[in-house]
Amino acid sequence: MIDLLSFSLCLFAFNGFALAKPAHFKTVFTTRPSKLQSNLLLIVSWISILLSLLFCVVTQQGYGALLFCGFMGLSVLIITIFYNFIEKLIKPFSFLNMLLIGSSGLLLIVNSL
Amino acid sequence: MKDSFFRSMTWLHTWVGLLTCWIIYVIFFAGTASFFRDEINLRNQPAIHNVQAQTDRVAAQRQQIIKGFDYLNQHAANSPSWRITLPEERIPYLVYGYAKPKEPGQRRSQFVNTQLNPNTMQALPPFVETKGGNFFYRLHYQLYYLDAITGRWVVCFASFFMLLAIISGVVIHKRIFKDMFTFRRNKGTRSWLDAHNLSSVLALPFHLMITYTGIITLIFMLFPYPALTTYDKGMRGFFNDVTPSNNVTNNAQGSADLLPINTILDHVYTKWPSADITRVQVSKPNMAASTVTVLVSPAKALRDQSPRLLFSGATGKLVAQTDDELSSSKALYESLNSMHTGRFATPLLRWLYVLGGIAGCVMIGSGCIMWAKRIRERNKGKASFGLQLVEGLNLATIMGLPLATCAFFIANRLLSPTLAGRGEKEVTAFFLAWLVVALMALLKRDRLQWRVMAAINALACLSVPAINALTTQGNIVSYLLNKQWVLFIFDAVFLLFSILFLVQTEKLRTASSASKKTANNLTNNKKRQKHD
Amino acid sequence: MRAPLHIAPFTKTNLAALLKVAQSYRVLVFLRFIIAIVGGYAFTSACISLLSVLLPIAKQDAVLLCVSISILIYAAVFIYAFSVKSLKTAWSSILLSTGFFVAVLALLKGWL
Repeated sequence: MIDLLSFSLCLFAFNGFALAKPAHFKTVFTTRPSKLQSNLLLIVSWISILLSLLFCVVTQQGYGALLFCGFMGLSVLIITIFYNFIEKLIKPFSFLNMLLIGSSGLLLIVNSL
Repeated sequence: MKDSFFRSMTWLHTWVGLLTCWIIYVIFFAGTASFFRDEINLRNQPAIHNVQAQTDRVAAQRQQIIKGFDYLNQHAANSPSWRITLPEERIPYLVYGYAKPKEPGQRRSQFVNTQLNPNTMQALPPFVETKGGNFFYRLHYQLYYLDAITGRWVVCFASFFMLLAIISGVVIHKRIFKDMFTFRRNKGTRSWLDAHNLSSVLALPFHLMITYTGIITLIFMLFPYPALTTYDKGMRGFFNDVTPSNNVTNNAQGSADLLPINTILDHVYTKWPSADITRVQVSKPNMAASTVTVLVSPAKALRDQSPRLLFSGATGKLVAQTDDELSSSKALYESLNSMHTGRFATPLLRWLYVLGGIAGCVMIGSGCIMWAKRIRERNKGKASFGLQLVEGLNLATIMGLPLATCAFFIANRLLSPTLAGRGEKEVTAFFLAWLVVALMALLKRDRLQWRVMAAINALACLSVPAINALTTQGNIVSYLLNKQWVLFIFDAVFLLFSILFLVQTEKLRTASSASKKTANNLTNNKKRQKHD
Repeated sequence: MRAPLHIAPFTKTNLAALLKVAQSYRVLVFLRFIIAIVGGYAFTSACISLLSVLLPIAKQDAVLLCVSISILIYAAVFIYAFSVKSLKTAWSSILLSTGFFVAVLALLKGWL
């Protein structure tokens, strides 16, 4: 469960990193992003990716660090496929991603109580 | 070297890449396959296809060890050494083995192994001689048909050049963050460059780690000098220092009955209550100088040497053990080594490792193909020797290795189980298939030849699960129904690759017909101009 | 003033000069690879041998630490050999430093 949460946070972060770039933002929202939007996306993405790393390393130490690197690679692959081949599905995909973060986080909290 | 650091690194990146790309491709290909060494071993050995996973693997170990000692005392009380190998997550069977006395000229004594189904404790049907996953593993760090040391030196240097290629590649990739998700389709060389950059950046931590740690696994061959200068006895002195060994009871004379293993196991479980025992080794059983070594799995810890306890067989006293807490230097060395082999990886991490490996093959392959295209453009179509060599090696390596792999797995099913030397013959099938592709590349290297190879590969990949269904009891459907996941995924992967090769065949057709169309248009226009 | 090679008329003398340049370029590249590969290997071996003797930690730890960082050192020296502009500097700096390490090591170990 913690792996799922870490991975979905990582995926969310790279989605944000992609959107922060004007070219990719345009693909999804058809307008260029404002400076504020870009910066906001970057900040949220950095927080997300650092949380992902934190969860991996705190629960599984060295093994977790390796897992995190693997998550990063898989996330970049998925985001690249979406932004170059299936642009139309980015919005529903992002929504599902956020849902996944929410539900796995919630399940973790419920299970630990 | 050149005007700027950037220019020098660009030059270096192309050259170190060029000098070793095909060897490195083989290493990466075989290495990626090696992550599934145990699974390939299983697939190649029909005798263990139907062994079910144990419901409580760790709890059953004590009984398995006790029964093993009974069995070995019965059959091999005076053998120089015993080895009990317990089932693991990815190796489902139990082995009771004993060594035959060493014959003159042998480096290691031969073992007589009895393989058992851990659920029924019955002997399994006889194993066929096959190298299985061990073939790819050995090919990966030692190559083949070269003597061991030479092969390893070649692998070391190729890997070192790979590391330099990665480092210089990072230095020269100025827009690494800007272009991270860029992939421009159908734009010729630009698309190949994007594929090269994407596969490199995607798994950059993996590539750096696997290349660096790969060389570290062979580091004592490369640099024995620190050990030689620090220790009077050189390498032997160093290895004695780092390996827990029996220095206490070695000199005891005469024979002495082995203590019941239960006592020793109690000691092990007191120290490590949830120990997952992997192996129990007994040297000089039933002698006063006997030792019993119990090796435990390090689980997810980044340790290379299995934690172990050494006991005197006769008295049950603990005589040596691996350190509980590793010094930082030892921890560094062990983590580097363990990261490369990834033995600790659970299925999730293991597949992520494989993703990195595949990305590595794409990175190297796209680099090779880009280089060939660049030479072609520079030569303006003239077939220089350099161009023919690069294009030929590209075709032979990239399309030859998959076919060779299929041949290896097909040979495993088609060769008779009792054929002498069949293990080596499977390997010969691998290299023969590769040779055939190399010869075809020698003849022609054009797009049509790539298309022909793609079609042959598609057929070969399809044949692997097909011939499996015809020659063994199971097939991909039965594996799914019986939840034999390893075998199911193996067949499914080959079906997937068959489809991918079909897609490649199609893509090459539209590309070659498109170039034919433009060529026809050009000639038609020229003809019209003549008539005007 | 002689015209630069690439726009000068393609006379016989220019051809000879061109060949000379091309050949010496190959030799230069070859020499650079030699100092990077062989020189780098010698430098790294000497450096880590000396380090393993000097480090104030247990012998086995020193050896393990030194071999673990050996490839980092080797890679750094290799890249240095290809970044330095002058080939002479590359050769002299690597050879001299290696010699220095070996000398210190010999003194410490009492080989001399």
